[in-house]
Amino acid sequence: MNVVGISAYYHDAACAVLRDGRLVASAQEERFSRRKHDPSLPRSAFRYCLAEAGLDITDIDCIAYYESPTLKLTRQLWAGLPDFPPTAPEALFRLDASRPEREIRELLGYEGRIESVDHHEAHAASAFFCSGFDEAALFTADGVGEWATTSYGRAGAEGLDLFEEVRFPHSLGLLYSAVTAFLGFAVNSDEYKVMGLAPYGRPRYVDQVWQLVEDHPGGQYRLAERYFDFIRGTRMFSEALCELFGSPPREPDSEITPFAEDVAHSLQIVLEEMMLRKVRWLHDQVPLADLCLAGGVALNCVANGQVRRRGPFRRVFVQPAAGDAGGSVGAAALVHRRLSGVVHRPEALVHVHLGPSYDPAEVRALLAAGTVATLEFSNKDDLCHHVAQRLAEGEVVGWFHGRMEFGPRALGARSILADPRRPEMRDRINALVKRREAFRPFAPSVLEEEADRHFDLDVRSPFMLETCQVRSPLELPAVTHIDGSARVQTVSAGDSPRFHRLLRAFADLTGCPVLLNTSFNLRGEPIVCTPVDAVLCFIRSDIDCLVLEDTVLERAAIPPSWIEWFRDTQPGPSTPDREMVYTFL
Amino acid sequence: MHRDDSIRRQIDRLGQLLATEDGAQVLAHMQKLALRTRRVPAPVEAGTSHPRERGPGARLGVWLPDGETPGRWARDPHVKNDWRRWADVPAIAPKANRPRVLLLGESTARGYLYDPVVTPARLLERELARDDSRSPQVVDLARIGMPLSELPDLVSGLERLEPDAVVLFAGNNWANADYTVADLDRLAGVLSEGGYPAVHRAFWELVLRPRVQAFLGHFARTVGRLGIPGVVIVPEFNLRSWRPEPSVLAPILAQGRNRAWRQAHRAARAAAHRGDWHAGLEQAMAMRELDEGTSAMAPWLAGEACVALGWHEEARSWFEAARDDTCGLFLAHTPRCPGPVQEMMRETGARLGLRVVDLPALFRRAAPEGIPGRELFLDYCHLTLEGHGLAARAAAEEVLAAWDRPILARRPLTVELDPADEARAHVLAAIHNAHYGQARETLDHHCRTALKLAPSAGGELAAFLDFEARRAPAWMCGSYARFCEAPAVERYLAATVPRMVDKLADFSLRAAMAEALDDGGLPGAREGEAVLEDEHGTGPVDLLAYRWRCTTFRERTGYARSPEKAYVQSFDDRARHFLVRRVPEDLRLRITCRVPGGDVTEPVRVLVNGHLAGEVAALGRWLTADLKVPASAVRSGVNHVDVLWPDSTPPWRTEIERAVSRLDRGEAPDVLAVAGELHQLRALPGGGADG
Repeated sequence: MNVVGISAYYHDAACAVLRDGRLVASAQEERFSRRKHDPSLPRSAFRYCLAEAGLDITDIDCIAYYESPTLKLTRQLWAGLPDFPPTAPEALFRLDASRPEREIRELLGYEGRIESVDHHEAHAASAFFCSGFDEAALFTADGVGEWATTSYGRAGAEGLDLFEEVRFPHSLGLLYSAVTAFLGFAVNSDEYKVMGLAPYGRPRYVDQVWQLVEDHPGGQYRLAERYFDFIRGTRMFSEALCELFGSPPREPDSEITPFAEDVAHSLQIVLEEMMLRKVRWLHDQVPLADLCLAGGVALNCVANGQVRRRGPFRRVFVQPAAGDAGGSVGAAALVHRRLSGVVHRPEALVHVHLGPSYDPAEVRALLAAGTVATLEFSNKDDLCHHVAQRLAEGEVVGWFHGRMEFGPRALGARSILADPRRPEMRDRINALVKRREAFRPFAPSVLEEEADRHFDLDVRSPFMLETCQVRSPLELPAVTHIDGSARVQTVSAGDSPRFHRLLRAFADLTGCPVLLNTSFNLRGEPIVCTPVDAVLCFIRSDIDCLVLEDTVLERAAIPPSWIEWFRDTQPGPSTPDREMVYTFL
Repeated sequence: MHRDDSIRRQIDRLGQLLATEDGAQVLAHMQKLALRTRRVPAPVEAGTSHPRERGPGARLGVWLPDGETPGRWARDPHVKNDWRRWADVPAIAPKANRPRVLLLGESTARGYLYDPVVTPARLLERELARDDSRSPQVVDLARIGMPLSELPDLVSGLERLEPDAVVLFAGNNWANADYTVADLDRLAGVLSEGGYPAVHRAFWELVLRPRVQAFLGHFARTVGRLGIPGVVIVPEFNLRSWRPEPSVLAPILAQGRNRAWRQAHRAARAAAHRGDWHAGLEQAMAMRELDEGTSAMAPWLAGEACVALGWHEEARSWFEAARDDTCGLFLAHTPRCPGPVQEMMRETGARLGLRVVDLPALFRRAAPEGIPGRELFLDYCHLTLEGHGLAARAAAEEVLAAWDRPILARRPLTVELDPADEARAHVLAAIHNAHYGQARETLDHHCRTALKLAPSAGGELAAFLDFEARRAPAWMCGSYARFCEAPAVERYLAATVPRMVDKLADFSLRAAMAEALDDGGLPGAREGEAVLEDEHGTGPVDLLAYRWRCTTFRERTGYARSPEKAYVQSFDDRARHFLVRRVPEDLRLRITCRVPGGDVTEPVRVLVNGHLAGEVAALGRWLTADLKVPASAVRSGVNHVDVLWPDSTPPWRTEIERAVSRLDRGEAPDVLAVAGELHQLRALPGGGADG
């Protein structure tokens, strides 16, 4: 049985394919369209997934959609009251519960069965069916799906049951997003920046943040609605929030002040405390050893670490694509189970290399078309040794290998790598490569077998979804956050052989089995997908060398014409159609 | 907040009732009604002035006032992505002691395909030049792709450049309108009542006329307030030498008339092929009667027949209809200034005190048989040197007359240009024409003209044959870098456009170039073929990839403005795909297809190089089939894989209702009648396993 999962129309649209219950391909539409967080129906990802799975459209037994359009419509209508329907200009045409099915028919051309599952069910399933757990408690939290914003449940051989939920407008995700907006960052995009900012601050506004959210018995909580404006307004927060914090909102891209750091810090404390309280209550209801986490809030890896270390569950699995993209996987898994009646023991997801790959020969042919000089390696060890040497010499390397990652993290397939021991590396990459805010930390990737010598981490962390304290005998300033923490990826030889080989080569050379690993993209750009995306990112940045599969491209070897054409240009999606008339090639 | 459970229950019930397509339309209409009646600020209508960026430091186009030198403007480095669209002017010098003329406009005003070697601004300056230091200065503010919606802002800011006259050379982009919600709402009603013919007729009055009049009024008021002359150049179209894109046939026609229209189209083409022009004209007129003036193909075929019969006045009228009939149907089309807009510019311009240069009238006098063609145009609307010379002289005469200055002794109209630069313009024209579906004869003309002007153009043709053949995007190819050494070529490079990666099916263009090179005894053709076979001649191929099926940009992006689909639609009764093989080999073709409105008796036929490879039942649902192709049917080099769709009657009622629904929801409709659809077409070597 072949089931395709689709998530779309909010942010991070994605497609996933399950063949006989096994996840064989998934990808976010933004990687193909080059439009960050692209919410549109994933046409390119759909075609890619079918091709990767060796299917044509007549082979699909069902398309599973990741939320209930009808329930979502009722929430939208309710939120607009007393206007009926809501009439803000930005709400125009958004009240359309028929759109998912209509566009799956018209734009994907699919004629067969379509099933939808509830949004939080999709989140929960995306975690449980990838966890490898026989049974587990389920905790999902995001901004909002249909009505639910936080859900509690259990899953096992009998299926998946969400037995309690917190409903819109009360939402931990919206709480975090509203403060994110107040701090001048983009909603549904930059929440992780607030998380990164938090350790710089002090808990000066914890009391104020607790005035925003009130804990209730059981799994419930309530937002103090007067501080928010996401229901009918055009911004997330009200003037009352500004009064509460005694400050106007921060202007986007303006200087980061201690005030912003303190608010971020206080918000993070409250979020972690709320999650811990609710997870403890969940454990009372579902006294199992294992917990599955999903939903956008589960991308808060600092809170995840707290839940695992201070919470009642022995093991915690977080869906690597915990946001809406992962909903495509969960929807497909639930519908597969629903239609097939087959109860698979959930297989543990060991890697997220579920996207497109490119043959090394194809890469060679690509670069051979130009006048660019390259180094070719037929031996993987030689390649890794060469790259390790350059990293040790302080170079920043663009690393492109194998199938693209699914989810928001670069995990060694589309990564920018550097030596974490160099104090200047963080500022260099922040300023010259990523062109992003200087306060944001970089993450380390470490050989799995040596992880515990450098990080206070007693479990594998292949998906970079948890922070822990750095306890390395080495100085690792470029990946150690101001509070001594790091968001670690452990790399095993079995799951990521070439990346592991590179880390080993670097360790052999330097005694340091750790590399700085950040996603291969510029600010505002999705992670690169194709070798051409990677070359363009390389040209536009100050990365020293680019490793495309078995080929190494030097910065000095970039033809001057490429620099002339693309340096200082912005990455982005296609030019509007009218403009395209005038590019004649 | 609405805590009352009964309210929640009522909302739940309403949600269930409205969770249908009809429900979405009801909600959309209620929203639009509320927005209209509550006077919530609506999106600004195009053609009116936008009060933004008006401060003394605000940008004008891509130029910012230079903080250090008063009166000097320099390009803003923050908008480098936009530089290539605007005139190639790094800085605008302070005005000094010379009269200043500003030139605004679109790509024609940029001198597309000659720019920056020759620009209309420089030609205008030459025509205005005096024999002293007071020769007028022309400041070039032209922008390729300038939409009507952005002109008002630019006009509002012109005062800051202290002009003494303004010349507006625009109008080709105005019919490619950005629709407002209100437009779509009005047109939905029109479509529902009278189908696409009614939409086509309503477009002029409901959408275009108010915008054009609003903008011309704004322009006239602005120059009037400044007390300077404003000159409007009415653009003209390549009437004689431009054919409509072959795949843009007819929209969905009521009463299922598309089937009869296709049959008449086939008959008209066949008649033209055998030179029976009377029969061809008759069939073209039958097509037009069926489509009620909504297809450019019918009048164009009629025009061709009339030319062959020597009926030039009639031919001109038909070609004008071909120019205009595509407009206003939600179809993307090449820039053009349709007849009603030309007339508005003449009439409104004169009424508002603007000076009008009537290019249609000027070109009618200059063109053979009164029908302007390739002697004046390089493509649909971009002018040859001769065309630019005529336009610049006429504009200069209007400026001088307005200033009450004598027209000086004339220099020859001919523009002196290095033959290599002129040849390059023809090389670029060959490429551009190919990407808009022009006939092989047109491509031959430009390739051979280029080589005739300068044999050095052979290097450029050979470079194209090399980089076009490669898998790498053009900009990554060494041959492209050499090609781009000429500024006129480099100008239009834009690698953020995906087409720079995904190339088009340029096989007709390649053949035209290769033959021109061979005939000229120049190298490059065989080398280009070798690269093509080396890069693509083995392994499995997805024949739905752009480079194997899309000969034009529009075949790639779609003709309608509706979202791209995950499958391919054919609008003609034949879908041609290209397959390159290094050597003949057994193949398996895997096809997944359907015929909207099926099931029909006739099957879908697949031909390889004209030989029947197999048939697939023509069903209204997807059907997958594997077809074996023996090596004997395959040749080395370029092969044609043709999917022939049987005649079917599209589900026209459903399609028009669907289109109305889309407009109601603020979306663009699919417009064209579909002959068949492909979800998959793969060529697999050896007839074996999938690759």
